[in-house]
Amino acid sequence: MTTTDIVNKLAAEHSLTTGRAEMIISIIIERVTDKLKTEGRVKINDFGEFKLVRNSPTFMIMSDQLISKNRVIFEPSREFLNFINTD
Amino acid sequence: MLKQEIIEKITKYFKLTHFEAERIYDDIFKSIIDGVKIDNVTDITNLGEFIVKYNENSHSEHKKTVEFLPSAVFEEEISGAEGVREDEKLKSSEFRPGIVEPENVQQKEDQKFKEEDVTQAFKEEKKEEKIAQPFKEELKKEEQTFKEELKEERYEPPVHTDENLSVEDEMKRKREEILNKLNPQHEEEYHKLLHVTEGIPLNVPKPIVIKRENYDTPINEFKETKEELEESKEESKEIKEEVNDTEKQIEEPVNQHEEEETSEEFTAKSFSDYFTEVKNEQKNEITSAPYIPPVEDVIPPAAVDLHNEIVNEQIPKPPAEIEKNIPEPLNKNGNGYLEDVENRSSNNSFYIWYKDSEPNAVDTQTMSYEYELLYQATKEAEYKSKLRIYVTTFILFFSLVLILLIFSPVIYKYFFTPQPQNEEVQPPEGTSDENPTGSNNKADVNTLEQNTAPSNPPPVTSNEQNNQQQNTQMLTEQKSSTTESVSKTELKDEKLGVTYIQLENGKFVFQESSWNSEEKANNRVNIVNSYNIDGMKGSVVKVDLGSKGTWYRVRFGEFGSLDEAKLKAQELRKK
Repeated sequence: MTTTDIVNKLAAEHSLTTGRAEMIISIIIERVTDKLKTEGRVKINDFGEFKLVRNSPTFMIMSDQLISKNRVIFEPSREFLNFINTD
Repeated sequence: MLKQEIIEKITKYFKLTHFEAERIYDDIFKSIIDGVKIDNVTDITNLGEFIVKYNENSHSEHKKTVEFLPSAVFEEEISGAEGVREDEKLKSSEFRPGIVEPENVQQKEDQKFKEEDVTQAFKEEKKEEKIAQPFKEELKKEEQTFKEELKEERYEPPVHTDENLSVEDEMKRKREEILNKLNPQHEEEYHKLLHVTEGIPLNVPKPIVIKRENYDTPINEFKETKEELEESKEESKEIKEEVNDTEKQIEEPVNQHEEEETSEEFTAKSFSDYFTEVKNEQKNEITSAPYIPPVEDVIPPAAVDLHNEIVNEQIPKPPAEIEKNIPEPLNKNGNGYLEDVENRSSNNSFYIWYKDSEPNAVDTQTMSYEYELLYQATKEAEYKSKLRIYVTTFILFFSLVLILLIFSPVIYKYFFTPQPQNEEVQPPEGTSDENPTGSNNKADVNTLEQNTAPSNPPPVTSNEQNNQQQNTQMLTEQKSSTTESVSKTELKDEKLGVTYIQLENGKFVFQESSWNSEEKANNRVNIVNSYNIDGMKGSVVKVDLGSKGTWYRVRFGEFGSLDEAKLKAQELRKK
């Protein structure tokens, strides 16, 4: 499944245009990234939690660069995992 | 919170109800979950991929788990973020702080300041010997706790075992091994770099605390500000003294020039001058020898020579002292100009060209600027004149159209109203009994004439000739009258009281009389038939004349020519 599938599904179910559906998804993504940037953690009910973890710069020292890199971790919620594991 | 914010945004932008927005929000995540379950992968642009991963450990509750692979765009956006929580830093095994957060440093420094203040106060009070013992103990305790905290805050990351090594760590280890092989001194350098004490293994380097300038400044700043304040106080004292001195000097009988100089100095001193002390001697050096460019450099020598030739005068040379002070230009042309090739080439717009001379950069610049101004002025003038013309023409055209629109009904009345046709208005001619216009028979006078011409006239007597002459006269009269009315198809003979009519088949008929009733008409026909004239066949034609009512016309014919019809009509009238 891709974004286009989700967009089409939304457009069909909620009588929206595909452009509008795409805009809504982009708004959600934007909001999530902003929240991650500021707070470092975003929790979405019945879906999961995005966490920001900072990588160590020790590896970068070798190349005389002190740059820390952030990494995103996703922890799925219990409902999500239960839904996947049920046949 | 996030959900509410997003829902509010959706409702605001797309003008949806709160309920609808919430449903859409839920559906999006539901569809992602469905996608993961059905296809095992959901790819969302600008965010990443959610992939199903199978757990190898049989002890775990769920066989399947979800892994998130962020997209490149998402990673780039997040790479610069500083919103990592402190709890996560400490908890997460992979985390090793590279840069100490500014908040922590500030807190530490605040605590340090507090401690210093407390210790100072404690010392002072000790001297006075007025402090109670419990307070002392408290202070000691605080000191100890603070030291312990500091020790704790020095974060020491846990040692990695071989099992939990990540890919990066493996890479690091390999790299170090290679470097060690190549350069055995590398290990020591690496230790120096990381500020690591001896004994700790390489794999676990200590965090590097990079102190930023912002966090070091406050103490120094305070000191600096104090020093500055003291300096400023001293300076202010000096200024006051100077002012007093100047006042004294003014009071004293000194030359006028000296007075002016002092007053100028006093006025020219700005606030910044107090901090940047420039010696008076230096100032005098600068002011005493201002740069006065020689005349030869400004005006080309060829022009000067020409001027001298014309005027027969020699320009006095500048004094020798000024010539000494002025530094000679490095490169000179034959005419004594600096070779500013770049300036010249950059502005080729306009320059005055003298004979055997090259354009001066300054002159060209000034002239080009003036030329530009002139050009702009002329352009503006042209534009204005054009605009005036356009505006006036537009106004004129518009006014014309308006006038035409206003007077359109009047113009229509005068020029386009259809003229009344005389023929239609003319009342129908005819006798009291007879009605003139025979709508049934359509024939022109011209055709009548044509028909009359070829027909051979029958042999006639003198009387008949007279009659004919009279008839012809009548005909001419009739012609004159008929020419006016083209639509007439009849020929009237007023003497006989008969009208001759040409039928469509080319034959002629004469209308003898017309009656109100059909009976009267029929009676008249019978009477005429009783006369027994050859070739006379009576017929009654019904005509509706509108307001005048219906009339019955009695006609006799049909004759081959008009003359024959006339003869028959004469015969009838005689009887």
